[in-house]
Amino acid sequence: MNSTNRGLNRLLILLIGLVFVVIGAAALAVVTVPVVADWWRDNRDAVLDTIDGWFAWNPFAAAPGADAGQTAPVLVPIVPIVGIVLLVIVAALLIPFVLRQGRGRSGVVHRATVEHGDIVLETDVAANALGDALDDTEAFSSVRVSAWDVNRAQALKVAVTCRRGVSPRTAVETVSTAVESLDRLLGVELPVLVEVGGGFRAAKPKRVLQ
Amino acid sequence: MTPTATTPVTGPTRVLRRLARRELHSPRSTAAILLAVLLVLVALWIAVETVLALIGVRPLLVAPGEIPGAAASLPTTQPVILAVAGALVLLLGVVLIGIALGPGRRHRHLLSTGRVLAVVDDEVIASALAQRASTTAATHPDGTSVAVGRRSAAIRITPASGMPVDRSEVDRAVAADLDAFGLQPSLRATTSISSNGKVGQ
Repeated sequence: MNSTNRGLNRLLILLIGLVFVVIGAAALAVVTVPVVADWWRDNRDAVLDTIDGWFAWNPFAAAPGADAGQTAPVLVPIVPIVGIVLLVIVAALLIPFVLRQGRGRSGVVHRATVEHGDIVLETDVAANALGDALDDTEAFSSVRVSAWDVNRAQALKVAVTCRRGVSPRTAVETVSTAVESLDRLLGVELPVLVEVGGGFRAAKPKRVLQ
Repeated sequence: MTPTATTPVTGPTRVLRRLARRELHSPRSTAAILLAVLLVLVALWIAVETVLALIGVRPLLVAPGEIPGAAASLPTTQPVILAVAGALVLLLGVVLIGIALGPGRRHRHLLSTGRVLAVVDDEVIASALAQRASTTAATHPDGTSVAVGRRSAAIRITPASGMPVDRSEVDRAVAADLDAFGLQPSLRATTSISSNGKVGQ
């Protein structure tokens, strides 16, 4: 119901999972698989040199050859500085990604423009009306109403907690009747999603000594 | 859903369908948030270590320049630890890929009636079925357990000693209830009666 970007969640988990699989498999293979272990023993220094080369890479350093020594090379470590900037950007992008999870509640359930001005229906109106209608219902131990922004429109979520043994259909029909009254009260039909929860588990048999 | 006079049926229904689908699947927020926070911490730590190394200050934990060399010598210095750690990281990676690509279904069913669309926790369905089964079989509610899956519900009844239970009667009653609920996807119930009775109930 909220604005969580689920595709992005999946993507992040997938990417990190793949990185973990590659690192884990490499670490495991280098110890347990003889071929990989041999290759690593022969090439370890070459690999390390290559990595050192990446970090030392500097386009401003004088090219070895013709005028080496003529101009003083700029000794700014390019790669680490670019690396820092990239790392900070990654962190800056991930923080709003985390903060956006679960947002999207709305304080307003409906807006309309009429001849004499605008009408704004706040969530509390719908929540109180539905709450009053459903609070005395024996079958429910709690009723919570919230409004959410969906595609620039609003939808209501009615979450009810049922007592043990209540038929889910009866529960939903009870809410549906209350919502129809709300329709008449407000004069608009809001999309309503009902969440029926339990909180009481189906009875489990106790152990019997035999 | 019944068509209504004031709103076109396509609008709310489509929005509702989409909302319901979202409620039936996990957003995987916990895993994503955890990984994102870890990633931010690691990124900032490496950035700080790099700055410290550049200005020549003692590193917090390890200087970044020493990491490749230290990691490269692990196969010879700590082979067992490296293998175990590698296996654990590999396993964690496989689990994460499973979370990312799996359907991530929540234990819920869809129920559409009248004016609203509803998602019902399987727990509620199980509780209602248990109630029906125990009243039909005239056993104590504590002697009935129900496990609800995506397409099936397994009912187990432990009768009171010496009081036989009619299995087909329970089957019929529960099937009628499931029909009336009209859940999506629909459930098929199977009843089993424990051969050992329970004394005193």
